[in-house]
Amino acid sequence: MKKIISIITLVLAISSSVYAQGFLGKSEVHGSFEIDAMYYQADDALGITDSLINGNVFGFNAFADIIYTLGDFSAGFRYEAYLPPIAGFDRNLEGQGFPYLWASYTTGKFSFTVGNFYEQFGNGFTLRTYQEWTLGYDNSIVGARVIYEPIKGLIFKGVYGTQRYYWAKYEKNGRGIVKGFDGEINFNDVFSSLSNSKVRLILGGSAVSKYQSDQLKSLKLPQNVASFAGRFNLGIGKFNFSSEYAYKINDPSAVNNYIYKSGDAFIFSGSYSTKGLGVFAQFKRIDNMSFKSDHSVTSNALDINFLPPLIEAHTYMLAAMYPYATQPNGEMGFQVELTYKVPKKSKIGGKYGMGISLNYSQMNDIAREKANDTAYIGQTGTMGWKSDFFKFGEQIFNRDLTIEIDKKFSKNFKSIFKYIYQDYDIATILGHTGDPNVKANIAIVDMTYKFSSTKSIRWELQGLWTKEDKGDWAAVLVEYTVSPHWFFSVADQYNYGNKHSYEQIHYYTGSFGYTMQTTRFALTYGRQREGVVCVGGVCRQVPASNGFSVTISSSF
Amino acid sequence: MMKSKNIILITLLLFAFFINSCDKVNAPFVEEYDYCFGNKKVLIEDYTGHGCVNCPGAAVLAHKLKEDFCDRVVIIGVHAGYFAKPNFENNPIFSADFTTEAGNAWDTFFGNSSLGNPNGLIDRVKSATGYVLYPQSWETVASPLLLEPAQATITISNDFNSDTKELSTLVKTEFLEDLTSKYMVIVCITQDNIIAPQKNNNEEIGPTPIDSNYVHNHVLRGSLNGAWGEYLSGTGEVAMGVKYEKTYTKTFPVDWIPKDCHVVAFVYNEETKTVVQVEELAVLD
Repeated sequence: MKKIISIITLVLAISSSVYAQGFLGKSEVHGSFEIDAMYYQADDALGITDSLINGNVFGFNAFADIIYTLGDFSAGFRYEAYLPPIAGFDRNLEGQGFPYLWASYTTGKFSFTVGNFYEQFGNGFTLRTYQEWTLGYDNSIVGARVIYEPIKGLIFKGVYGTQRYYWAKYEKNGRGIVKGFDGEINFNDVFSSLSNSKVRLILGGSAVSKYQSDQLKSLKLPQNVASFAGRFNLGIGKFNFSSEYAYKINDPSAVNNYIYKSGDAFIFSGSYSTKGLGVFAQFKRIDNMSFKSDHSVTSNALDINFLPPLIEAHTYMLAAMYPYATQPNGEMGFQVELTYKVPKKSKIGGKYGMGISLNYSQMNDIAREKANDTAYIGQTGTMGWKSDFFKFGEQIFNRDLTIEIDKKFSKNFKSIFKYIYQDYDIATILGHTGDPNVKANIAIVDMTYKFSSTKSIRWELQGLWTKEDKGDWAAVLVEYTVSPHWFFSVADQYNYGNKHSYEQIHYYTGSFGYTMQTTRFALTYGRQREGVVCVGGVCRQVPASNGFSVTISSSF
Repeated sequence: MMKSKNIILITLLLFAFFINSCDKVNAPFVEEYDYCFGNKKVLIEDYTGHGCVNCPGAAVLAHKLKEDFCDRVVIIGVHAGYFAKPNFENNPIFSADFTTEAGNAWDTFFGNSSLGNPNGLIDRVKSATGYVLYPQSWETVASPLLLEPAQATITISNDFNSDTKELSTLVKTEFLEDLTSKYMVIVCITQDNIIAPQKNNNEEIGPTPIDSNYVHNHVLRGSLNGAWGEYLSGTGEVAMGVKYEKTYTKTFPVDWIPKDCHVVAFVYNEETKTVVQVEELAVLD
């Protein structure tokens, strides 16, 4: 703690010194703050009693991010507090402190960073560290990073360090050490003769290795595990293609049940776009590609790499009820998307035109066979399984068809119409073992009417119809905005189709907010749905809750 | 031109470095180790619940570790938290209540169920992130503990009166080295062979999604001296070579089947909560 205070004091002292020397113009401090707090109440309908809350009537998450820059030098820190974490956040986060401290300096073609940093190589198959405040996720590397850019279009990166694990300090024989290297060349930038070419080509490659001492007595574990990836991005006129393939050597871990097969990941994307029309297609295959800096960790932490999801990301309340999560031990699927803008003043487009988009994605398990005659698929201490690269597994994890039409009817009135069909393997993804796939039809109407240049009202009508899980839902939201300061909204999600009458509950919320320049204040009162989140075979109950929540955020 | 050569050379060297940073392991992958030497036993507290689909797998793992470690493991199945609620998710099939005052107190203190089940404690050793360990870490944490010499020995003597259903148990503790902190003893009862429904997602263990005839073993039934036990000596301080004796009596309720019950006693450091020794003995032994 003394070290942290010393660093902060040093930063402030440098800042003061800069003021004193008249370098104010070169020195800048930026920052952002956010406080999320929730006060819980008992609620008979949700089964929340005073004894269940057990004195935990308050949840509090907060952070402050401060960045100081002076010419080529920059430094910063982030303070975080979870006292205790809001319901649904990992309880390991409880505590407060400065988990993110860094300093960076750029000189000529080199850039150096020490302390914490975030980095991504390519699609993230070999390395991606990032922070997501709303999920309580942070896998930053604390160590050193060097970036070398000898000429424009050619860039090399090297990273070395350990990863953040909640508030735990690094200890010898604990979590692993990560080292990585990435190189990328943009041919159109490097070769001036290609600068105006219609063909654009970028090639890249990365290698990442982790070292973790073998403390497991019963298995021979590899202490060094490396992964390699190659990628390209090729643009030809209105077409664009990109792909990446990654390979990882044997990495027995708790996630893959300590099997010794190698892992690989492949993604290919192609797109075509022209005025008013866009076509996008993507294929992905993952086989045993979880890569963490501690082999024994199964929770949402210490991920070295990132396996991007390949599905339409839904934000509407009911459409987001069944979220898909990448299955790191194996999945294979594709996504196609078509967007078309019906021209203005056409028969269908009307005066303002009309947008149509269609997205279909499907993700299956990979096809698996026994690695040998004596072991079952996935057995600890074996090669795990064999899998044909081009063969889809029979089990469907997720299918999603989304059709969206957005239409402006007049100067003041516009609307979005959405239909979604979802086929969701709730047993695999949420751990509801034995439950059948949820097959849901979802319809959404989102309308906005502007009364004036500053006042508008937006309302959503949503319905979700399914015979599985909790049955049918209806939802409504009304939001009134007075720009640029105020908003007021009320919403209700009603589980009217639940087969248990006592679970046919209204999950209502009411909120308002005020924004003044870069500061925003919002107060919400209402109910949150219960859910069970399973990650790596460990399930955590995200409890239903009722109460007040306050969010205050600001930046400068 | 020279510059380009240098860049290519550095790049190749870096890739060579990473290729060298790979340990390709060849079969056989399983290592053999003889755990039958040593006098230290390890306590595995398996925090579980009948609504937890992954918990049967953890119970199997705990039992496997007991076998792999030459029976130098004592298991307590602690039913606590959301997944252990009676009538779990309003399903009357889960009417059994295996929660206990001691188990609830431990669950609240160590924070097990709030982190998601299954998980557990190994000798209540505190790691960098706290006491709670997911099953995948149990072996890693337990195995080095078994390689250390025991700091204390515990001897249990049971006398069960089958007419009055009263158990009298004598727990003797002797420290094998001088220790500076204060030490407490907890004595509790566990029960095997309780048949009751359990959620399950592993077909190799039993029917899914609910195993109606699941056999619950090592179920914590209660503590004989409170959730946190009592000092071994008047002050809690202990000395090498001194035998500390404690006697407890308990009249068994009807659903505590004596032939399936064990007395489990463990001694721990009051400040760190770390268990220094554990022992168990069948009630009818």
